[in-house]
Amino acid sequence: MRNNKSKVSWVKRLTTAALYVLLFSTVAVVVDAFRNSDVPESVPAELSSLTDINGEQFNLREMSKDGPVVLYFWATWCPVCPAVSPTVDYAGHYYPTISVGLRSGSNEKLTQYAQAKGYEFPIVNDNLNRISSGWQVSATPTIIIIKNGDIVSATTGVTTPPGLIIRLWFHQFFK
Amino acid sequence: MNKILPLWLLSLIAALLLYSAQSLAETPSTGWLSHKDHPPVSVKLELTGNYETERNLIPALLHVELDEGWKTYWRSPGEGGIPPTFDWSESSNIKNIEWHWPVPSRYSIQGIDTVGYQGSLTFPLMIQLRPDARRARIRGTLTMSSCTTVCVLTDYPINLKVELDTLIVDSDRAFAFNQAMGKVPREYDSNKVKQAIWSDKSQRVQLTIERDSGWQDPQLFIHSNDDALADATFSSPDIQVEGNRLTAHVDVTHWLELPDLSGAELIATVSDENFAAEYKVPLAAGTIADNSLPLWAILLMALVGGLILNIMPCVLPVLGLKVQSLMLSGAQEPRVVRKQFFASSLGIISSFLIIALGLIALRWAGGSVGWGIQFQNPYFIAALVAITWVFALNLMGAFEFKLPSSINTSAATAGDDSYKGHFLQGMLATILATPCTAPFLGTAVAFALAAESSVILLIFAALGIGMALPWLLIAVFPKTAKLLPKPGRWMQWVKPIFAIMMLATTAWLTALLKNFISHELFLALAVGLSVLTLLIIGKIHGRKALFLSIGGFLVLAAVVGTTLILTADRWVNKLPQDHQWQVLTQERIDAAVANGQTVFVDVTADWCITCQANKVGVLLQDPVFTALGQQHVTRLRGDWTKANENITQYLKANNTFGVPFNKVYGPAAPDGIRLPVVLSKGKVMDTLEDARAQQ
Repeated sequence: MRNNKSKVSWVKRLTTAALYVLLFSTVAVVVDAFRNSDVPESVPAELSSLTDINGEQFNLREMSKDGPVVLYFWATWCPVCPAVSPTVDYAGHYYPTISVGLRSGSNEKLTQYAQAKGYEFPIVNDNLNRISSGWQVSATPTIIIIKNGDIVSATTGVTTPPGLIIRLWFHQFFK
Repeated sequence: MNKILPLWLLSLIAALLLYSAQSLAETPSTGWLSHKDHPPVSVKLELTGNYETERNLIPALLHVELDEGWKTYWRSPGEGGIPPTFDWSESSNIKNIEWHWPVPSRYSIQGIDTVGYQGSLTFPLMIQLRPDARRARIRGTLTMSSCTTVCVLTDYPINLKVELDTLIVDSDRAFAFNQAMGKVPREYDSNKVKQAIWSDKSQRVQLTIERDSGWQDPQLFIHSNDDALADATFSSPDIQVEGNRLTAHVDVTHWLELPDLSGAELIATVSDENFAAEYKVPLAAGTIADNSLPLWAILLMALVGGLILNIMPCVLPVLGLKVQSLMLSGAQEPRVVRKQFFASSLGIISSFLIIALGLIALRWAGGSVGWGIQFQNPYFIAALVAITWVFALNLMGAFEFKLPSSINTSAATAGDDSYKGHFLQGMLATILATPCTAPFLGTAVAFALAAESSVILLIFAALGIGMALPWLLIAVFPKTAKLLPKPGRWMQWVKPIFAIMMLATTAWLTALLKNFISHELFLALAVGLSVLTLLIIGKIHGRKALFLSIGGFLVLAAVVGTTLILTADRWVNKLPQDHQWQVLTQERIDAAVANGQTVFVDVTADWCITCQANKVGVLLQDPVFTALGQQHVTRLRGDWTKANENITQYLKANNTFGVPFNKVYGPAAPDGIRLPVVLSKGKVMDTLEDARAQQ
């Protein structure tokens, strides 16, 4: 009897938990849709190809055919970015991740900064604001998730590790 | 007909001509500029119309409007951020643009400290023309940083034409420029910087700066024009003020390797009430003595303080009873004893952690935090009265009735749940300890409340572990219980003695309530509690015990009374009627000091035992009592028995978080000399003299 009861309550608890997760992820995704309406709907053709400070080439449209890709806009002068960058760095172990450093100085400075902070994600130097203005991104930190060449999520401001992971899962499995 | 035009027509033409001349020569301004992608920020660059011929300077104003929540940064922005910049390289006939920075403020975003501005602000600019230039063009890009939880760098194109020959002074702007310059720190004599040390070992700068008129609430901001230090971060300073001497410690960090700062020049901006100065500070290599107590010392103090709590009258009965029950039920297995005491220890430690979390939450919510504030809440005191009273009654055996068998059975089958009871006992011990914490834990708790959240948790954990030490000792070595004295006849005295201690605590707490309730209610409560207690004693132990108690109480009262009367002349002489004290306000201090008075400040509370000890032992005793009564002494008292925002602010301004707090101000010490927590007659007399003495 007792065993049965506890089993039932476990199932119930799990369902409740699952419903909450679903609710939060839906809210997160819907909020994203409104949060950054300026961002283009798909990867602009002229900005699909990016070269990082080590000379490595990335093609966002091609890469995002296999699954979600994270594009992260940040800056060395942005006091909030150090709170978000480790999350992106962590996501970089599981999903293709590229970052764009906004008006943060020379390649050398960006390399040193990333080394000092332990960031492993590739960095594209956007010292003249060209890439970010093409993406209509003016504020840092901004995290964009791209899938099949489309921008499926764009968040500006502080993102927590679960927030980013839930978004990535959502776009990997449900869309 | 007259060929001459009528006078009114002439004046009209003249007015029109003048007007057009004026509109042609309008003082240049960009008007408000904002970027479509970033509406929260707008900027405006305008000239005042003045021209200083000697150095070819034209003063200009850069106005910045930031929407609520947005900030921009100072020239050294702290741990993040970037200052606004103006790239005027496309200008013509401009030799230089000198940017002036008003005194900034400190902000914390996501735990990151930054230095900057919010709201509307004005940067005064000094634009220097090339010699002999009569016209110029100010052209370039103004880059403004602005952050909330996101950061934006926005460019504003600037294009202003300057024609010296038609330049007209705009008096409003000229006034605004002077006003803005008034907020810019002025360069001061660097002779006032008595010491500037860079310690490579501790990566720290120590500055000592003097000001003739003394310091009130100084703020310090560090900047360096040295390129090698462009990305260095100067931490929020740790400032100590002693009279007219300010000592500040600033940690310097860099995300790359920090260069050696010895020989480097820093610019120290210091602001205070109606004061803003800039000092050029060349750093000399040296070592910085760390005179603040290291964390381990504070933790040790907390540990010892916690341990001492066990012998306080409010806590001793709880531990005593536990040990007694252990002795009586000697047959218990060590394993069980161990678990029981361990559960109690956990109860104590978790209670302290809960208190710490509560304090942290209160601080986050912006509440004023101080130790002892719990005694400013009548409900808290009432709850403690009830708890201690019930506990005292329990000690007298009021609740030693048999549990119905069903409850007994369920308690027995609950197994490990019975340790809950021991855990709760530990929590009870902690709650009972709170009245006794104030005098012993002052230093540790004051340190904790000013520290970071993690340090608060550490210190309170140390307090908890300290208090739990005797319990843990028994838990770890259950055999130590055997070292306790053997049960015997003496044990029948233990409970009544503990009960009296507990009742004394109840009486003291009840007395505290009189500040919060009406006189009648208080009397009713005191009499009611006493009668009820006596009735219960009578009910449990019979009339004999009741009469014994009443008799014992009367005998005690008689003995104490007689002693008091017999030694009356000594007591009367020693405890005179207290002086009249004025209510403490900062204005009263300032006014009295300005009048050449010596000011004695006493911040006290009825629930603070140390305060009462200071009063009875020092303030009401000669020679202090007479000294305080002198004509040239102003007595100001802050009563913190109930929460009072003014007093909390005063304590905070003095970097302290609890009472007692005493300070003496005077012509020789306008910023006051702080007295130790525990007063002594000699120290008070000396300090009164020091504060009064003319320099």
